[in-house]
Amino acid sequence: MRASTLTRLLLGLAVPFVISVQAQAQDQLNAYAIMPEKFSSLLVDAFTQKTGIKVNFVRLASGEALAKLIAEKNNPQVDVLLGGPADTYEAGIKEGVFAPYDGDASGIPSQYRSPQNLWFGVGLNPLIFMTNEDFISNNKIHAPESWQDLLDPVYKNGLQMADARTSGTATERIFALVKLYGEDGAFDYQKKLNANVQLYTKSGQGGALPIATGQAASGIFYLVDALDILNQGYPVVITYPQEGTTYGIECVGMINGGKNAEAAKKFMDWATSVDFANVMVEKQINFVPLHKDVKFDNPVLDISNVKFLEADAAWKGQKRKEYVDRWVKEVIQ
Amino acid sequence: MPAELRIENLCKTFTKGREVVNAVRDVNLTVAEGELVTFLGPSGCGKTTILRMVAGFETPSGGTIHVGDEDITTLPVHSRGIGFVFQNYALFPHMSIFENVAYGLKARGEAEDAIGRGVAEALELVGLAGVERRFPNQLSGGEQQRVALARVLVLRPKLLLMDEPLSNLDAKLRLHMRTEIRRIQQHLGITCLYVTHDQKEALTMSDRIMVLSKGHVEQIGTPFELYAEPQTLFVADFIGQANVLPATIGEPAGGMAVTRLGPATLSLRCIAGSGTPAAGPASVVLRPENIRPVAAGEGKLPARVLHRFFVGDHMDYELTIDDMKLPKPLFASVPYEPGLALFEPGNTVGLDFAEKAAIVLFQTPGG
Amino acid sequence: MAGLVSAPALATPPGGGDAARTASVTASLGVYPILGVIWLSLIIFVLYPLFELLKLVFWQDGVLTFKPLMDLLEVPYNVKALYNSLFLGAAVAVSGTFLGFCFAYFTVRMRAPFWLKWIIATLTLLPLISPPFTSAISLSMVLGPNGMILKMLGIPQINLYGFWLTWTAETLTYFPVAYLALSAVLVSLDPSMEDAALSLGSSPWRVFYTVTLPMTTPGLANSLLLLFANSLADFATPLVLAGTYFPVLPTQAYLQITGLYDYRGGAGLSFLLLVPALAAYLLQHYWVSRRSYVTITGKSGARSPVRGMGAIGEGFIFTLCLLLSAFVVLLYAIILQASLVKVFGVNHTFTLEHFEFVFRSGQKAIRDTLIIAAIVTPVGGLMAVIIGFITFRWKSVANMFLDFTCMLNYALPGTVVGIAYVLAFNEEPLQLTNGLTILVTAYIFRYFAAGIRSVVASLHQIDKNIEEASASLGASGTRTFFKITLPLVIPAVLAGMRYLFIHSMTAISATIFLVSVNWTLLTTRILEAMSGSELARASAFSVVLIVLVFISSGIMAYIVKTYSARLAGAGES
Repeated sequence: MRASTLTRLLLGLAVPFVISVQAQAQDQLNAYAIMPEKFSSLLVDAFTQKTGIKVNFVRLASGEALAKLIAEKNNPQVDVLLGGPADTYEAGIKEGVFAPYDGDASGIPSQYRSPQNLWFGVGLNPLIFMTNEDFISNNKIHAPESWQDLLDPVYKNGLQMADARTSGTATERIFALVKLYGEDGAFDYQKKLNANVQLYTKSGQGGALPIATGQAASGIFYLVDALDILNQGYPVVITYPQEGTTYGIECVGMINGGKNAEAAKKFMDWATSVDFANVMVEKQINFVPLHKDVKFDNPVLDISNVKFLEADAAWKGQKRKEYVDRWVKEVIQ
Repeated sequence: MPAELRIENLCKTFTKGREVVNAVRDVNLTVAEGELVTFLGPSGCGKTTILRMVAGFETPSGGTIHVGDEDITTLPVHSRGIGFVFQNYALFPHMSIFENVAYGLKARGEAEDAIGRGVAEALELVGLAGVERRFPNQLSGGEQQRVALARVLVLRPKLLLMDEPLSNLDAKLRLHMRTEIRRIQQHLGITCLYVTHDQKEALTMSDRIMVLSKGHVEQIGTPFELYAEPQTLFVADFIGQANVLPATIGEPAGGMAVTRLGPATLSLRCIAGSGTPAAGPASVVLRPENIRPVAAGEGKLPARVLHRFFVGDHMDYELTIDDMKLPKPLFASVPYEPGLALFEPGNTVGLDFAEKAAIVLFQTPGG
Repeated sequence: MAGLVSAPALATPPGGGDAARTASVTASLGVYPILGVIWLSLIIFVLYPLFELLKLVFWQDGVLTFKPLMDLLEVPYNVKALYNSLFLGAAVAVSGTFLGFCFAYFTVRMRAPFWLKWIIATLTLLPLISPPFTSAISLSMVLGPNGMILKMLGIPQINLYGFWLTWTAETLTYFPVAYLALSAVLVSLDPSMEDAALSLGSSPWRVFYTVTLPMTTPGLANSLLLLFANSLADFATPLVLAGTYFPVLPTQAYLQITGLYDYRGGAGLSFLLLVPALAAYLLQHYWVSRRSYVTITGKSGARSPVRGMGAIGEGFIFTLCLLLSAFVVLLYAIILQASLVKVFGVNHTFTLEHFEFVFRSGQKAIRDTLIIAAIVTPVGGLMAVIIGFITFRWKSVANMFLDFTCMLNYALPGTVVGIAYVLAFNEEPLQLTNGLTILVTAYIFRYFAAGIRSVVASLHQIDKNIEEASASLGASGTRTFFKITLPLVIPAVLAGMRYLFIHSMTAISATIFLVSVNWTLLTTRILEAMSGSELARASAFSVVLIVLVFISSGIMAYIVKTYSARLAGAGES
């Protein structure tokens, strides 16, 4: 071996690094999913089965997904965003991340989609309380039915809920409280609530398992995450606050400048169709489906008796950062 | 306080995997107060192991060790009051020379000023006064060895054990340190065990030498005894050089035996204790300086010159005897004198020696 | 995570500056083009990303400014995070080093059945080859509120989230680093030092603290710094266990970016982290590791049977090691059980469905992870040999700088490196995000430093006469390198490669920002499963990953051992 051979060997090793190795095959679609991995993979499989389009996706927390989309907006790496609350989409719209979908989405009621067709609601996700059953029976209390119940000292060190900086569930919680108590009242409440909190978790579902296993007593979650725990067989009780709650609108949207625009459009066609809603019902992806033609009889998804507080997505998107900052400054310090 | 050391039936066995190794077998030794006894033998003969058992670093598999009247066989190392000097000096690298030498005194809980005095005295004794503040890595090998000695001597141990203390020094320094150590040992009158594989070192320094081979004692004696009257072929060969000739003896009587050595029949001195004194095959040992080639037909045996080497103060010859089965060629060392007769390789010569120079061992080579 | 195999970094023998032997060997290797390639890659993958990070922090509207940093420091929460990070690092350094020393002392110095030592030594390896949050997760089940042990102790309501759990988890995760470093030191301590001290009349306990311990001091300092740096960089453990009461910098930087989309803030926070991490590393690398009492001369006398520190001390260490080992077993048993039952804590029916899921849905992650590790390991190993050889044989200011640059990504916390990579490779001309390249380079340039260290350490031990003999027999420089030098350093290279392999399988801090739809990693899948409340799947993923790493690194260790044995055999005969 001569000297130059060694050099060539090294160069040969170095070159593939510098040249990017992504090949863009024809029938494929890239996505970020904010919906939990297990749901996303079920939905994506159904889509592939129907259209033959292969989907590559990576699951990210809503904040992460948005951060990535914004960072990549000059060179988008994905074509669609699957799941995530409408306010995340609203925050992205300001940054020009989303592209309008102009296909037929008439199945989605107009209050559950963006006026500019930038996001489309596929399911409602009410905010609820989830409590460990054993905790209830051991302490001889009833499951929390009011926001005020959670301030009870019986829950001291017993609550787990999400960190507002990373979780859409957490910001939804703040929105609901602001609607109920006003801004100052909402933060006063959270400061008091903080005394009972054992741990703020990175993601919205983070606290669900500790409650299921009895490490924590109770917490505030999205319905879909709570039902998932319930369906796994853990002893938990789901209750709604009687003063009222809000819901997140679980959405899909198309990314501006995505490289597989054709496939993305096909995905949006499917996602806004009744097929998608049926898959959700069939696979127990327990958002409350929004498509007007979908039929379901699961009683837990019946929200006709729940009191909801008005909170539109644009307002949420606008206020999110302000509230998160305030939460960091006032609640957790 | 120097004391007598008594080792009785000392044994040590190791297990190496499934193999059981008898590292030391049945060693008996008494060392008188103020005596320096050297353990000499090739590597693996067990000499260091015995020393380490006396120090307490190894536990004997059998036997006892007494210092004075005290049985120390199972006493913990730090309660024995025995000084040990290591081959690699084992100075504490993180302590100054003062701290090194003071280490044992501090362990005893001596007063500050007593420690200071003791250290100064000990360093004075080894000729290193004034190095207290330095660290071991700032000293030469010889100086480190002196510090190691001082570190031990400052405690006035009952017994001083030295494990090949000079083997890491260069030849010249080694020579110097030999006399130095012997001087100090005699000056203090300290009882001392000294391990070495260097026979010159052993011969020059020791009161007595214990020669070991494969874990057992070959012979214990003064350097002169070992050289003049080796009791085994091993000792004969290990201490100085020895020519070994196969021989047949008649019934020994009065320390002499009629010996058939090739064509010659001689009456030679027998070494008691070198085996079973009985008629039959035996060996004759001759030192190289005691034999010389002479003109063919003269001398006691016929021989042939293989090689000749001129070494300056003497002339060395390698010789063979054609009719005898020699384990290796004979070696003759003839002192230079003016007019010395020279023999060429290939020459047939006679081999001459004084009968009193030859000794009979009741052993045969390899047997 | 700059830690695992710290042994190579430790073993750098003192001295050895042989400027004289440079010329012939290196020059004839045609070293300049190679150096050019190396520098090019270092500039692209080490200096440029760091530059981008610093630019974002200190360069605003075309002027150099400290304002963004000052703004961050005005938020008390961030200051608290900085303070917490340093405090946690110090606490983990002390506790981990203490435990590491006890374990090292137990396995090296104490009398115990061989099998017991083997089991305990193997157990200490588990945390090293586990993905970062495995122990954090099971720890929360054991010591979290209502956790098993707290219930047993009758204090189920105590909330240890925050400092205590994070500290416990990091201590458990990193004490093996100290163990490896310190057992190497203890093994090579000349036993005659202790023999000498004993025979001078010192009691075993006094020998321990006047001789054994002081002679281990450089090793202890080394271990303290390593653990400090490891803890400082740890991002996964606090993410799971620290909660909001005990913010630490790596987690804050991560949250700043992913939660508040604030790259500048995240970069600023990671810069705060960079300063103490680099300081600790430089201290360790250029000062502590050079001060060593370890003898490798082979001059020492007979190796004595091990000698202890006295019954009380040894009893304490023995009990501690047994208890802690049992605790580690418990933690991993929980993970294993959770992966094998329907619903851990509720329905303990045996099932393999979680593993089925892992091999079905996680197939891509497994494949991607293995592909990445399979590229990183040989490429990083080769680069380590070449760079190690050049910097060792050719002492110059430029090569000292080369050495330093190679260590940079290793010394910096993973979060910092990850953020710097995202900033640097997000746009043309070096648009690498979403590719394989960014993951592979992140791992190589972060972990090959350990390989370089171990190559340099072994080069120190090669007699230069061997190379000169080869040259005098007419072999060219290149031929000498490939036929003589390379085979002799191969054990070191393999050890370095094993380190690269383990880390490219298990590390997450740097790469959590770098995974994409095209390339994903097992570790991020575990984090994902955890945050999706899927304990069983997270556990199954962890078990698969641990088994994969255990087997492959075991094979690599075996190769190293047999190869070294062969070399040693050749040396003796």
